[in-house]
Amino acid sequence: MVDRARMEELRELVAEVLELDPDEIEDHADFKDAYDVDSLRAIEVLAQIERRYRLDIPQRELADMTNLSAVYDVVSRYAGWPVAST
Amino acid sequence: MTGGAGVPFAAPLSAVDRVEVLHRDDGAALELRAEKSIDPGDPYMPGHFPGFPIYPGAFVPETVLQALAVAGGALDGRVPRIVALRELRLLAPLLAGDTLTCTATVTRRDEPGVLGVAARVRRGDGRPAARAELEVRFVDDGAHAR
Amino acid sequence: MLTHADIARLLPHGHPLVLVDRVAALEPGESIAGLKAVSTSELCYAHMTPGLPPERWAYPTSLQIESFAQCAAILWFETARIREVLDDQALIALAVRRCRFHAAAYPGDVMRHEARIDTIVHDHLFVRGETFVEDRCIASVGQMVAAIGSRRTLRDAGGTAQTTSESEASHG
Repeated sequence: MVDRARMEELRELVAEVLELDPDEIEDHADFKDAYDVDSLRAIEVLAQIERRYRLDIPQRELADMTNLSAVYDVVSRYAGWPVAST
Repeated sequence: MTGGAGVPFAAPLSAVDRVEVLHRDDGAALELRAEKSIDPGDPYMPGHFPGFPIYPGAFVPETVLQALAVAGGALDGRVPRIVALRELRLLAPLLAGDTLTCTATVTRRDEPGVLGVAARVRRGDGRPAARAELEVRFVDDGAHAR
Repeated sequence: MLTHADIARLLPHGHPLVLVDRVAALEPGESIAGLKAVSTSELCYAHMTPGLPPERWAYPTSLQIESFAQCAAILWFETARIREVLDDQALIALAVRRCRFHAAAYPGDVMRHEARIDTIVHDHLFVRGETFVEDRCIASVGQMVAAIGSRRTLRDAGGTAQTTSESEASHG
């Protein structure tokens, strides 16, 4: 069961880094295809997440963080949030 | 190439070889294409870097600016000046011997006299080398205030 | 405090693209104030013809950005030194964002670039700052981003690269 509040926090955070409206960030839309997220933007999203939640997430996790839902999955593992049901 | 010979204002080098106006829509939008071959003999290039010439990323806005100046015919004593750089994103190196192609779309901004320019730069092999979003103002001679 | 000789040694740039004359203040890991004097004898003025109005001598924004970036690079090198980072590292410029250029610098002006590290995270350096002429802020730099990588990656890097190696910058 996903923590929806956290999901929305992540949505806002990602939206802020990408300079988009949170409404534009869909749960499963591919970052690269839908929002033109390149390697630099990905690092910036990761850095913001780490700062916000005081986490250390290895850069290699970026490979899996391909959409908002996937970001939630990765962050929840490190932060101890409820895991999303597939 | 002799210095910034193509433009009547201070410039590090001639940052465009050729400019083509692809589309002109009076009062609204303008689309330009400019080319620049990366010449290690150009001014400043010997310093960037000694023995390994790369077109400085900072010169990408210069290419955009000069393309606009040349296309605008350095109109009647008004030359463009960059007033804002929203984003300069550098994606791949531009090495000596390569030719960059810059496609730029120019639109009016709300602020009078300010133009928005969105530019994409590709290398000779077609790979994206940079993109830039900047704002330009045509400065009237006589605006100099000390 | 770093001298112009130190600057020449640190930056991989060569003449005439060394665009920092003096470091006025430096706090490794934090901030730097670097100075660059603007002079009519510079190459960017070589093609200027007599009779052009004074506005045309505005120091090119592109060179101003490069000058600021070199100050940021010097800040990084000194920061890297205190962190005892490998001597073989390179800084690869990735992005410059949210800059505003309020006024121009002209011959006779001394630009003072004040750069501050926002964060260094995942081998990426984020800096911001301003450029002053005397007490006037002529430009603000919202963000500059550079990746820290090995010199080996220079060939595949994007844009401008700068190295921490203090050997002669012959990138063979």
